[in-house]
Amino acid sequence: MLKYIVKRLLMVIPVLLGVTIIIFTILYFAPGDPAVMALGEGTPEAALEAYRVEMGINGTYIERLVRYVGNVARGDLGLSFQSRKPVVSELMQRIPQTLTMATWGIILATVLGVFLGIVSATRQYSFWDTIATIGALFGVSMPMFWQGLMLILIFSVHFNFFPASGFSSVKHMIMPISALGIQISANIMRSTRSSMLDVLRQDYIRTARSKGQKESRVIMGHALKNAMIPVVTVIGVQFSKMLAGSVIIESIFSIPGIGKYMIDAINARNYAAVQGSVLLIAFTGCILNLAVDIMYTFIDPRLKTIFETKRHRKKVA
Amino acid sequence: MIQNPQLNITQNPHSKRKNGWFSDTWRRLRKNRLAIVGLIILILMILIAIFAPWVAPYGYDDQNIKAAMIFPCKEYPFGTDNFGRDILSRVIYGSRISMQVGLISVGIALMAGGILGAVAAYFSHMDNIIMRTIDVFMAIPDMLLAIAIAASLGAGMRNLMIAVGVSNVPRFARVVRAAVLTVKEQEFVEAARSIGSSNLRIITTDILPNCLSQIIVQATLGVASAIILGSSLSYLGFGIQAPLPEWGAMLSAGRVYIRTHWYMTVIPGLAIMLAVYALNVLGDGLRDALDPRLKN
Repeated sequence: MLKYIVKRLLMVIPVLLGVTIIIFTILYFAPGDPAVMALGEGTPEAALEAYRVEMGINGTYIERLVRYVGNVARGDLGLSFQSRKPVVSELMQRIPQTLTMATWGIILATVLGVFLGIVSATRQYSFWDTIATIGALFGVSMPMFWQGLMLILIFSVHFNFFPASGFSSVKHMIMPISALGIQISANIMRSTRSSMLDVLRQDYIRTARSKGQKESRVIMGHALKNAMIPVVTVIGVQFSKMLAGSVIIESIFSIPGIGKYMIDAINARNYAAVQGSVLLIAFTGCILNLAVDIMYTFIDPRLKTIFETKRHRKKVA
Repeated sequence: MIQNPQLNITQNPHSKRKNGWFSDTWRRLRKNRLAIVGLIILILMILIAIFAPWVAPYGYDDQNIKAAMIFPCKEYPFGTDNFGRDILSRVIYGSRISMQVGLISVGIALMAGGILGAVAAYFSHMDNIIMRTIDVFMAIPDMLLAIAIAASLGAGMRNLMIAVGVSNVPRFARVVRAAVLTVKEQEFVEAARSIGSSNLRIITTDILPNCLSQIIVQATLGVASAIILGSSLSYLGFGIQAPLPEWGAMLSAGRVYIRTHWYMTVIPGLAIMLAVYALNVLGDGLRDALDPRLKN
């Protein structure tokens, strides 16, 4: 098992190397000279070049790429073009906001999505199933940023319940977290429902019912445990989607997190900061995927055999 | 075309099967009321997009400062914006942009992703290199990849379509690869190979037509998410620029007036939702109709 985790962790390295190269290459072709942007038009060439050397953005594409990859490997994401502070420390200040938002968002989405999914699968074609299914489809069809705007319109402008921007108190957090969570919960609801419907038709559910097991126990004990296996994958995928969605939600609610940092950085042509933000989000996504894969073995013991060494398996046999 | 002199079959069995495929699908799709609703909404929206100059009461950039910020009324059913432009007309013209962004970017993604996926699945020695590269791209959430590409290329409709298209390539490559892998092992592919068909011919005439149902479903759902992604990027300011009436850009402009003029942030969003909803229910319906085994 440990061997498997280490192996998977090592496999993250080439992926991150690839992500670094891709993002670096895309932004290498971005218009605008960061040195001119930072120092202003009409700055003498010598000063511009000195700035480029200081920021590590002098030289050819290959030179810069190699230097950047080397720095990233040492945990250095370069200097922010405007503030001239390390991107890593600027990101560190913003991680808590984004992570708080995404974590509560995924908790909300999972609880809501799994609950509604169970309700509508166990009462297939009933009134509540129809409502939940149609509602989830609408949830999936609404762009996240529009959900955020509508929440502001209803709860901030109309009822004046929650403030429309900021992230300093629980009251501030409710709307952004809901805006992130609602759409994701719709996705989770849809996959819980279809997976649950699949499981409910299995023989062992009939067996459980025929031996007189309570319906609640059949659903929660027998069906849900098996139905959750594909849902966990969906939740893992949705968590990375949520980190990306935070880019939009943070701009709407003016939350000082990684997403807003990235958008501001693009507008200021601060590409070191953009690269750093994308890398951080991609890295978090990779680690989450790994965590989901490991979690699988706990939910689905059948998979444990994969991680057993050949010798061990023979002994068991 | 298959010819069998012994049975003296004269009609083209290929075209007959295709007919059956269509009518079968249509028969199953028709039973799905929600999907039909989606189809009708979609056809209406496409017609509105095509005939926008005739349907819209005003032009999309007809400014009338005297009539600025008017709430929905008889003359302006959806109100006017800060330049006195009719929001209804702008939403109507906006459907042209969103439909184009959705269709063309999915076209780009489908072409590139389809070729990559088919090659990876068909030529197993290429599989590893292509799919590992795809994995790297998949590690970047599509929204971030699209933002990075759009930021690098600059704003504008063509660049937006490229950004959305490229960020969707990995998804289609995976879908096509999975589909081709299942079809590849079937006997008729072996039969085609045994009569000496070239690889290109086997892929294009034997394998891809049999993957079509999965590709159609994914493309329909893909257009829906491409419209959302395109409007999100325009909302953030990396996509379509003023004065073009893109729905996301309209929302971004209306955001400033959210405290006083609610309709400016409600109506373009409803348009996005309607289009995406129609595509999503149609996509779901098509999945059930094309592959009844998957249906719950």
